[in-house]
Amino acid sequence: MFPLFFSGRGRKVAIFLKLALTLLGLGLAGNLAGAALSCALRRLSSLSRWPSVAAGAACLGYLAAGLAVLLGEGTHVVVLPMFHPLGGFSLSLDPLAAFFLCVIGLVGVAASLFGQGYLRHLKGRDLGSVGAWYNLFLLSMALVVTGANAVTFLFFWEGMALSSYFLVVSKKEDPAARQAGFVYLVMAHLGTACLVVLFLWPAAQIHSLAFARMAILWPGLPAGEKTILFLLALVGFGSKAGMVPLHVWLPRAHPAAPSQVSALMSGVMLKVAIYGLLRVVFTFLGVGPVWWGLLVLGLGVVSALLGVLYALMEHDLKRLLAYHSVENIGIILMGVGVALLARSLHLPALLMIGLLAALYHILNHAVFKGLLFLGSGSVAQATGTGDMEKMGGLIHRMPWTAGGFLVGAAAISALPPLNGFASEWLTFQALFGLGYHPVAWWSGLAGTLGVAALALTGGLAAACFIKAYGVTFLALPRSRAAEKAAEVPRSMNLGAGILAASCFVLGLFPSRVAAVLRPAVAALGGPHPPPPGSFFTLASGMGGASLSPLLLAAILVVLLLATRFWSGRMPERLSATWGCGGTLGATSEYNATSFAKPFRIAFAFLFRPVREINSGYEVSPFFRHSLHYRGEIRFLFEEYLYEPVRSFLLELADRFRQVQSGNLRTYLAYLFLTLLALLAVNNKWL
Amino acid sequence: MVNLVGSLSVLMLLCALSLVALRRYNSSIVAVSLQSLLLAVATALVAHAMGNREGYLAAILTLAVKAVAIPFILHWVKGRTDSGGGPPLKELSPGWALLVAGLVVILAYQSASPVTALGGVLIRASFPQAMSILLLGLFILIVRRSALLQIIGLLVMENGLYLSALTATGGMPVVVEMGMFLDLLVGVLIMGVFSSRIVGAFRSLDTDRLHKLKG
Amino acid sequence: MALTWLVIQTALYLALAPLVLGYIKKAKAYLQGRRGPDIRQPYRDLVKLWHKETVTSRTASWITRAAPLILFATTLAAAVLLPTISLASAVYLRYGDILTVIYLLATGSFFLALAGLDAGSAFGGMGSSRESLLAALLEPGILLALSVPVLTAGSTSIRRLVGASLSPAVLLLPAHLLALGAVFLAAIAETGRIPVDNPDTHLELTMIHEGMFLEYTGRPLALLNWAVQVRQLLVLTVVANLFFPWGLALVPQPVSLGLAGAVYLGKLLLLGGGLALVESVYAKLRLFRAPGFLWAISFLGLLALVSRYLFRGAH
Repeated sequence: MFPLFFSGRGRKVAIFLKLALTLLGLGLAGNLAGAALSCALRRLSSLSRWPSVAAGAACLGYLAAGLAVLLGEGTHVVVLPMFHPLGGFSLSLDPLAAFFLCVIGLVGVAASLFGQGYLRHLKGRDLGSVGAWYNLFLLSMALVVTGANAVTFLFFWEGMALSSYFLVVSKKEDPAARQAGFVYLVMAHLGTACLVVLFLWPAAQIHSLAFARMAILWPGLPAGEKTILFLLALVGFGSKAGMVPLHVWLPRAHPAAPSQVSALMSGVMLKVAIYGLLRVVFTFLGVGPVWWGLLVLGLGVVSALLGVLYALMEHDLKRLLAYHSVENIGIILMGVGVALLARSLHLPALLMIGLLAALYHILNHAVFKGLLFLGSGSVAQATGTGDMEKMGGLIHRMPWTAGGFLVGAAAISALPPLNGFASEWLTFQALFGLGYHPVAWWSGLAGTLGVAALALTGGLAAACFIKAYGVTFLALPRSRAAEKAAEVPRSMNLGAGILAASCFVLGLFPSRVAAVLRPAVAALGGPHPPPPGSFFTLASGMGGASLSPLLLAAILVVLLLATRFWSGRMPERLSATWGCGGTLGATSEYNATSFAKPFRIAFAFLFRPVREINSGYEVSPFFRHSLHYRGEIRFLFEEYLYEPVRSFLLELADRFRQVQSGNLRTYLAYLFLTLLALLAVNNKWL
Repeated sequence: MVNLVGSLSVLMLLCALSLVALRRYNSSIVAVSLQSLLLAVATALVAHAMGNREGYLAAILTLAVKAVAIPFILHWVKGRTDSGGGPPLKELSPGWALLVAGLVVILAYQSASPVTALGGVLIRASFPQAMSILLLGLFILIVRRSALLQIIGLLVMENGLYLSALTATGGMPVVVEMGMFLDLLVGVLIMGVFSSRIVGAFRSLDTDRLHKLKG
Repeated sequence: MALTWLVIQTALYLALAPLVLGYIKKAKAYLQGRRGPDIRQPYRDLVKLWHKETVTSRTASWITRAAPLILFATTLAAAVLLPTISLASAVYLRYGDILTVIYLLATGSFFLALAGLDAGSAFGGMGSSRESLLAALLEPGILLALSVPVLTAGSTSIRRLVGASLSPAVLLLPAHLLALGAVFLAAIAETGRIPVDNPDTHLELTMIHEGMFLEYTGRPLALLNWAVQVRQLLVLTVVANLFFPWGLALVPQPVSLGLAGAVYLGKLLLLGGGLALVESVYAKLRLFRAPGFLWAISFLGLLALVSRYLFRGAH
């Protein structure tokens, strides 16, 4: 099928690799077919599910290919040279790429299943183009992680950004979506610019754009240059990953896309950026100074805390979820930061735990954030809004959606025995490990401060999801739309169901997951021995601590059943909720704003809330006929970082505007003078 | 033969210089037609010298498009716009314009010297003139305020470009030439239509008034 | 053997928890010069509730019905991870650590807070909102305070933590004492006592924790109350046995077990008395003063850590 060049150890490896490549090829073909199909079918809305079917099949291929390499002792790199006329695209499937391919595949399958039911109900979007861009988006992500040289990587990186941009602005009549798309495009290109410099600058010295050569030659670059390369990678990949302070596009762009695309953007695309960061920093740049790790750790802490705090203040369900992606990227970066520090300080065991924590959380966040976004899509379809203040009581009308969302909410709040707990536990272990091996007091303190920050993040995230779940699904409906909501089609719930089941599986068998992740950890320079622990337990690098969610779950189930059996079934009488003698309605409920108010006050130093109450009265202020409340918070980075930059650029543009007179002949004169000047330079007159 | 091409290119340069000074529509159109005619002859001569039969086709095309069709279009535009009667537009005086044009020609000759040093006989004979014509065309575009005269400036540029290509290659493939002519014809047509629209909107061919359209 | 200890441990927690609550109430009454209710009153309350009719809100969903069970189960699962009188349940302890305990408790709180919002009552929402704020702000304090023993033991495993604290040299470290202070303050906040919350309030607007219980009656309420009592005992056990593990029976022999039981009860008496004392001496803070108190716990924990690094120095 393809010309294959691989160096395999044994027959098994070869078979697995061939299988993987065939599956990957099938996956890519499926995506292309889907894209072509949806262009062809754009007028036939009854057939609009087929592009999603193709995408789903493709994602199954990706998942299987990734797993085949990870399970097949896949320490070998396969390169298939393709498309030589276009300047040499080449792909390779090493364990790190395979892991990310798995992430893409798993969430992609669920999102595509969901999309079959969801796309048909999308209003105001062109289904044909959504289907096409959706397929191209998946394809680009798969090719970014399997790209084996800078050209392939950058080409599909850009493809990923553009296809997702078109999905963000696919709702044509929505000015907010267009503005979100614009911000997204600017930030994406800022990042891409950094990446182009990152890859091309050293190429002048090492004369190669192949990743394999970079891995050999980059460590030999001068230290100063490597520092600049590291910072370029951090900004370039960080802006795509939604790292604070480069996160501003994320809460705008993710909610504007159709929900299954939001799931992919938040769950997978951000991880592709982390893939790039890991690839460049761990396999190309070699061991760096200590401050690299501290910087990444610090950025992780800031991202996690600010992400969750802004999420608490957000009352649009999808935007809330998007801010939580910032938070979780922060948690992932904490793991990456510890790993970087451990590498600089030569602590191999800690390096492995840090990497394992980061990779595990990447997988987990993809799964539960995908699940939550799909749930928010179901809710949006049923109620026609994303505003939590207009929801309520949906658990009675949409039981399956509510169940799936609850699993996701519990997982993201790191409640045992779900998957979020396993990876946060590992992150805690990594941070404690850093505290336990202090090279100096500051590195120990950094680790334990990270512990405190992660704990605060966890607590706030739980609070935020109590708010999100309670206000959306519980209590009385707050609008007509919420009263009339109905459960969504089965295929949509099936998509969410896959991810919900994954939350359980990934949470209950952490040691299995760790074993599967081992080749990927090794590919990043982690030590080769398998992660500690037995079949049921996951052990940390620190002495003796271990986790057995399966046993924990068994005990919980036994206790639950025993309590249920013991407390028996008493006759239950239904009655109204206590309302101090009055009748309760939807208006007297606690809503999202009121739930978040204590947080707004406790963190007023950060939010600097603005509050405005206008009351209308005629005779006396005690007899009001209307009351208007407006409350909002102010955003730190928007105000102090982006606003000055924006106004500076606008001012600069105004200055340059004078150059643009609107007179045709002036423009021609610029041309003429430029030409004359060039000629003069050529003649060495100047 | 080569000398003849050289002389023709000098005549073309003179046409360009006269266009810098001329401001009346009729005489400008005549001058640019004359320049195109000279170019057609030069093309035919080069074709003859190179023994390139396709070159004759190019010469005929040049004659038909540049020396006949385009002047005809220009006359048509002039008739449509009928702006000859208005007060003369304030522009650079012919004396100053010619002075600058002279400097431009000197610069062009200077700049062309590295090319001519490397090239063959044909290039040595006519490339500096071609380059001067090109730059003068641009210069005309800048100093003229009337849309019609700007079209003429563009044509002068085109002629210069064509002459440089002709002398550098000794005749281009006919496909390229056909494309160029089609481009030019369409371009002039569009600009002609635009000119009449400009007159419709501003009662004048003065392109300086277009800056009111700036956002 | 391990399973037997598991059952014993569970039974011990369930039996002892109401008694500890009764004792604290009695001690408080004594300090305030009242007679106070009988020390066995919490048992009677549980029995009374157990036989009462269950009235549920019409707007409530299965969350309301499941929350008491989940709170009860997670609290017990967390409780059995902590040694009371013996380290013999160590087989099980291997599979759990202090993080598991903290997050199991968080699981219970999560569902309780959801239940508070479920019925659509403003008081329930108020309770959920305030409780989640206080719980979130308490988390870093708890973990910073626990970091000191964790870093001493080099592990989050409970068995290792206990083992490390058994050395008398550790107790005298300033870091350990500061961490003990932080953890005691955290215990006050975690058990919902003055100055953070008032467990005896009957005014809906001042309720934090109780607000979430407002819609519960009968047997579910009994389960919830019992779970909260177990949780209180659990928190006291963390302070007692993680920071002062002396007296724990290292081998399961009758004599040492009896001794260990006595020592454990003594420690609980001391800690419960401390809680009663703080409750009698201090007034409840305004809600928006409480975060300051919680930040102070974190600060104390941080101080403990800094002193740990400074006194032990770098390797």
